[in-house]
Amino acid sequence: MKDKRIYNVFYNLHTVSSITIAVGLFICFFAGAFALFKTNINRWEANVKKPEAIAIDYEKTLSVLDNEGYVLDGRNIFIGSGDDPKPYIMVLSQPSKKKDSLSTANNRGALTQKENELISLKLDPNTYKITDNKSIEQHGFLGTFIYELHYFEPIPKIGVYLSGILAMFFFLSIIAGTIIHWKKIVPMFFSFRIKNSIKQLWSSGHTALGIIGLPFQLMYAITGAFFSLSIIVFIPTANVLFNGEQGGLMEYIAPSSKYENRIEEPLKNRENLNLIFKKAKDELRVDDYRLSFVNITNFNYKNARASFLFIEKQEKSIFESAHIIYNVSDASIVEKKPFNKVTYQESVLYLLHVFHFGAFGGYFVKIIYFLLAMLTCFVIQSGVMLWLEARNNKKHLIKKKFNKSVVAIYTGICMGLFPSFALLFCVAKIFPQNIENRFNIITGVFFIFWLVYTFYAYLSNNLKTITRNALIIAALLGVFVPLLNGFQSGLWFWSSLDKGYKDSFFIDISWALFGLITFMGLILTKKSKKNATTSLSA
Amino acid sequence: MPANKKYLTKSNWTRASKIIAVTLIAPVASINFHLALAFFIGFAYVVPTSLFSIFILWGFFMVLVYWIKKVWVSWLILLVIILFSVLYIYYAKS
Repeated sequence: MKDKRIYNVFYNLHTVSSITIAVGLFICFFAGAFALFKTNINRWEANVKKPEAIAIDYEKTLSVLDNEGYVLDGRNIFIGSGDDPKPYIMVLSQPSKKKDSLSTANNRGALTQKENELISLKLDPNTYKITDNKSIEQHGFLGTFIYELHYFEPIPKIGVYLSGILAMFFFLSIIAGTIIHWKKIVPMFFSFRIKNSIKQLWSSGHTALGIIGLPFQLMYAITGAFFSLSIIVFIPTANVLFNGEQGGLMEYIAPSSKYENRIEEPLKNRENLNLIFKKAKDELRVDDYRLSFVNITNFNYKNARASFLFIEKQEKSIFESAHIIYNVSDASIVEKKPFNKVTYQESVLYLLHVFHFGAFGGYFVKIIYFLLAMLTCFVIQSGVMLWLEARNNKKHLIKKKFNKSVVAIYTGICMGLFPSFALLFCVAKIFPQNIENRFNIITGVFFIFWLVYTFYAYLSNNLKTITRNALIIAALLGVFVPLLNGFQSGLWFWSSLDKGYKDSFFIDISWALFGLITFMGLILTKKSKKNATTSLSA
Repeated sequence: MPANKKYLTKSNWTRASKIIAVTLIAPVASINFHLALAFFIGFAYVVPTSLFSIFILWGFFMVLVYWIKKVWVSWLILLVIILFSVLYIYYAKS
């Protein structure tokens, strides 16, 4: 009796929570699957090769900031390099809470307003001119747009928290789903019945594939919740455990960017940062680093420190970072962590990142991630179909029309995303690179098409046609993507690999494959429909 | 087939209170529990672990709220966890 109650409660919980989050979750996984290749897409759009690692002149960077009128004394300054799609230097410095007592700001007169201001800007690595003084994040690129879409960034302010809550309900939904199938989980896994009825197909597919994807989905529920809602971890922890000092918290989760309270005594003369960087490279035996980040804390004060973090491709290990911290006053080593030593404190945050972004094992892992994400999309969509099929009887006659429309809109949004992406890639290559508001136009085209397709889905109300038409449009547009890229940039997919444009080749071939596979799928389902009396295609 | 309605909560108030418990109270309980645990065991391992375990415990509390039949029992459990954690944090800090 008790078992029955729990079964029914969790069955209802699984149904209700899943049907509520289904569309959002589909967008998360579908856009997220494309966002795994964010960097490749950005480079494909900009027609650039993978850039060489850039050597940053730290002293020059600081002098540029100084000339801009920022007061750097006492700040914690982060300087890093990015290469997505083109190389750039990023500088970030949060305003400190405390007022400077020894600051030289008083002598500067008119420039005092920049004394305690957020610095967040990007520099050109060749000319050291500021290219963007608003954000260190890259905006206005195709891959980045898809990446932002996958956590609902286009919804202002609350979008990212919404995706976090969604991830938590996804977690609940997975657990509830596992609880209701727990007793029959092994036979369920082996019974993939497709010959009986359409409902049976959805049901078997939903459970069998759901079980296959379970670890992957659980990982994404937790890491996704963390990345969207990290604020609810950081703020209480920093305030309660470390009395509001973020630097103390950093010591436990990212040791390379920890910092101390400053000693209120200005530094007379400091070592050249470029020299310290060279020393750090020699000390850690870094020859060919991919990325390097520098954190300078308490700049120009007595306990000023510079921490260098290197990320290098390592064989046989997913840990690929090393860091070293120097005293800026006399270039003596405070702390050193070589590549082969791994501590628990630094590995947790790092691993959450690596697992969420599939950033280990290169293309192979990312393609598996992509396929598992597509599988999850199928599980979500089949769940929605199951919901509809279960209500397709006399008992639910009154609501039948309403349910059908709801599912039609769901299918329109979910299936419409595929052709919308194909269109987005096409439009990105049709519009010339240098027109004004280019990025707003192409994303506008994307959103309008998506909206129109959803509206069409509502009007058509026939799930088969909605899905089929979406696939046909996506396949047609998908095949055009490599051709348009060839016309626009001259990088045809048969020659781009030889020229070294790996990303261009990869994205072109992927879209050509998407198109061809979709076409083949459509032809096969049409054939099987003619042969079999029971139609299984949808 | 949809779930048998016989076993489900009928009152809208109970349903609403369950939703409030899982979205607002459960994370607070989970965070406070971790903070108290950090004071109890030490920061070195609890703080980095809490990055993900806060969400796992939150999920566990979500399941708990629906598993327990009486909604006030689950509220009581969550509130007691919050109360004891806050008291311990207060004690450890002073």
